Amino acid sequence: MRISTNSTTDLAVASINQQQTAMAKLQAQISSGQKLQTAADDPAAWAQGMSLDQQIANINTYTANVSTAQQRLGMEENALASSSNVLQSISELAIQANTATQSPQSLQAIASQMQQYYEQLLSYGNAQDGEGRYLFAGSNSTSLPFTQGSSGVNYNGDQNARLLAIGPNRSVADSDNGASLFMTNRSGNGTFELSAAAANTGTAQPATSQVLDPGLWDGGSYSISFSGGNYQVTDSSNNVIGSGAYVPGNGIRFRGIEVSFSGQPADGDSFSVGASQQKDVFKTISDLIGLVRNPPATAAGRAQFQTRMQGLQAELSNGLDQVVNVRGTVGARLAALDDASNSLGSQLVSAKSTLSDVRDVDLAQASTELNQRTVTLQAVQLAYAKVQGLSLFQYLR
Amino acid sequence: MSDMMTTGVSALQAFRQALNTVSSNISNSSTPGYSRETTALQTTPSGGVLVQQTNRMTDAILFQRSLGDNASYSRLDTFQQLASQIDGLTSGSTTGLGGPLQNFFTALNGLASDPQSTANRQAVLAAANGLSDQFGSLQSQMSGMESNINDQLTQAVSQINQAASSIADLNNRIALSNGGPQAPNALLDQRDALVKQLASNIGITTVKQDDGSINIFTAGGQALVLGSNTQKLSLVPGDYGTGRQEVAIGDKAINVNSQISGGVVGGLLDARSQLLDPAETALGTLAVTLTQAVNQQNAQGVDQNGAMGANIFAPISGSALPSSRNAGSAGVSVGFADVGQLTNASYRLNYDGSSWHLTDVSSGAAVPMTGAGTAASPFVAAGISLQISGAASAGDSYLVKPTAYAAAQVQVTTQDPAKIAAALPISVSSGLGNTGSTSVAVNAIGNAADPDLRSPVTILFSSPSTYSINGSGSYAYSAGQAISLNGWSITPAGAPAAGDSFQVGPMSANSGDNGNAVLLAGLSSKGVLNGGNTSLSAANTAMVSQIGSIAQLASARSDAAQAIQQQTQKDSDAVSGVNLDEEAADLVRYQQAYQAAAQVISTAQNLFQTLLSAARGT
Repeated sequence: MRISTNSTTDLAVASINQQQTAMAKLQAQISSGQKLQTAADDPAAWAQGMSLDQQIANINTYTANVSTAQQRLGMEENALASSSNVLQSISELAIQANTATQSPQSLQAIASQMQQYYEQLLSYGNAQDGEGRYLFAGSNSTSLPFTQGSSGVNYNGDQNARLLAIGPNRSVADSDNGASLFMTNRSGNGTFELSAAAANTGTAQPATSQVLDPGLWDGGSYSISFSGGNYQVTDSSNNVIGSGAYVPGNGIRFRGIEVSFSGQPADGDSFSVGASQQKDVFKTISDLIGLVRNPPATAAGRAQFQTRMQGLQAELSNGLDQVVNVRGTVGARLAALDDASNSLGSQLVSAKSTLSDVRDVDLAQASTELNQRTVTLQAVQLAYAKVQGLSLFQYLR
Repeated sequence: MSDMMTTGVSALQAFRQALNTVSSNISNSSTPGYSRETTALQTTPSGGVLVQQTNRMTDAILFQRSLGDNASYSRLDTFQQLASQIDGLTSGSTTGLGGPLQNFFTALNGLASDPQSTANRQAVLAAANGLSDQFGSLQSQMSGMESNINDQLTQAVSQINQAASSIADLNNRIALSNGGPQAPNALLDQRDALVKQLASNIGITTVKQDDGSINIFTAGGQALVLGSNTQKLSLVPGDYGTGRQEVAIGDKAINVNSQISGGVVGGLLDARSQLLDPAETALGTLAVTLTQAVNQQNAQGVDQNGAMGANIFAPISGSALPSSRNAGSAGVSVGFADVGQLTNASYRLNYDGSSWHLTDVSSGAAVPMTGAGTAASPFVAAGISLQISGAASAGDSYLVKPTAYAAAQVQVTTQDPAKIAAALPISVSSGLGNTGSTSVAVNAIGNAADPDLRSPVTILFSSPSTYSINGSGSYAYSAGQAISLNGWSITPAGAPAAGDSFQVGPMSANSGDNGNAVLLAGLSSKGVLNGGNTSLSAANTAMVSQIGSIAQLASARSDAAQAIQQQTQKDSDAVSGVNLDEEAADLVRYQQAYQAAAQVISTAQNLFQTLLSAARGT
């Protein structure tokens, strides 16, 4: 085959071009640290890289939400711990107040102390986060959630929960509203409340009260009256639904509940049983303070005092349970956040390492290839110089 | 002896000419388009030598092959350059949409974590502005490419016309010397070079005529050169006012755009249909979907002032371009009825005098429409709605490219950070004395436009299975069921007991509720395109990788075409190219022959002298 002199040059130039193009590409890869410069380099890998970018952005978002929620729930947890301590202390004071050895002066002191705790509890309910927003106001977080009104404490927040996404299809509430915390308690033992008639003259007072079968309890009003050593239970239409001999400590059962009494009722004494009503914990405490400030003077009054005290103590204990429950869910959420944080951390590491595999240049490989290209380029240049030096004209001088 | 003299002189002349040819070869060894020449020698009857012809060494088959190779390489290379431009644009970390999209949704998520923070609200607006800028800049880059293509077409067409008239001129001169003793080699070389250039520009077929001239046709069959006559190409504006120049031919400028397929012109036209159209449509679809989804979601919440959310982005309208031949004055406005149904197709809307018809431009298939084309009942098809105003004449047509120019319309309409509706429009609560169900959640705002959406409502359960609304009515209920009214839907947790109540009321201003912000942020991964199967970020990824694939393929095909072209070039160089070593040998050969011929003459002269002196001597 004939080779034209021009094609020798063309061939060398084409091949030098080819090497230099490859070298320029390698240089771009090495200097940017990235294997792919545009999607055209490897469309599938580029798409994978983009979706990993998206995934990493999502993980970062979730991580930010986790730490926001951790911070807010941490503050809530503090306020709840303090609240439950306060309620605990009030319970202890109530037990103290309920002993017969207290003098009227010491009862006044106890009542003042209770008042202090009451104020404290209110202030915990109005706790704020670092930015001046109220923790327990729901979404109404710029207005004071608990205010003291003439007829008790009002809740001014709402019940909207703010959910933060901490994973795909997974979110966590970053707060709890004050209504569910302090306002939804119920009077008595939560199912029914027992109160002594004001005219009672005996010393009978409730010893125990419990729900045996919630299905049988109908929420009606009942009266237990005593006469001649016997008791009688009547419903609101005065129908007798149970009766028997009164034995202190023995349970009186009707409509799925059981109450027992201690002490000796006078003839005609009666206790009424009714469904529990909504009663916020602040009302319970202020009732308690009111009770302690007015100690009984007579044995009959003492029985009345005891009856009310027992009811209020049950309410207080339910109130404490409510706070403890909420605190329990906060703890569970914080634990879930810890898990999420760990899992997001490892997801991030794995996404980043995959992204690095997809997109980052292997420097060792790229520099080796650059070296090879350099050697080839030098060889092409050398070959061209050699071929170019061969001309018949040189020998024809 | 006189014979010897005659043959000697003929040899001197012949070798002199052969040496001329060799020197011409040497001096043109680097001239592009030059074909190597050889001297064909012939014996004369008297035993002398005669230059029969100076032959031009070419191969007609290789020449034809190089025409095809040039046309396809130029076409693919032109396309590849534009493809890599768009690829760089959409993939670039600073020019692509990926970053701004991510920023926007990250900002929305920040808003969800603290909806009362003005800084977070500002961040959302800033990210929305960034997104709108990026859409605008991508669209303007693509429009820039459109005008770039127009410019390149103008240039290519003027080169084609110049080459065609030069070829016609050369045809004329070549025909004049046709039948002469010596072929016009230089003219043929010039013409071949021009024909190759023409092939690179548009892709041609050639037909050789008996008189030595060649006729040239485009690949679509339009004559560019017929003997010494030419038909000029020109550019005319496209029929539908797209701003695109189209190729026309002849004095009457007949539009032949659809029949052009090769060379630079073919590559430019390919880039329009295979690159810019899909890219602009995909970008526009993203723009329309994003703005509509964000606006719709924002309208489902309340802003910081306690008002229902207004548009964050300006609503986008689609494009319907009237034909320049339309006689009527009807206007067509294009809306988006269902972005999930949008396709990448373009449509033609025709009026036949009594009714309107929609056809898919690429497939030609009829697309059924519902509705009447009025404002109250627009035509609806393939996710778009068409509204006709004014009077159309029979035969009027419109080119409907639903999202092609949408990206330029992405604008943030509000700069007031309070206008972002982060909160749900309603606030729900359960009665404090509830014993069965103590909390209630909003499932969804089904119809934010309901006039009673935010009216206060109290739902009271008179028994676990019946409830009343605002004290009236009695509705059956079973635990876990949703209660829907006034455009909202809520579900009480657990099983409500008798006496349980739930309240729904308007969300207050400056609320810390993030219900709608969460939904706004969730648009990032929500399936909103393609029938609800593709999210915005997935659609962007698909667009980028699709353009990347086109660019990758274009580059591979252009490399392959280049290799083929180079191979053909090498093959034809092997026939037509000058090898200096060969010429050096020829130089020596003819020089020696010339010297020998001179010696013959000298010998003849000696012989003659010998004879003369012999005669003188006798």
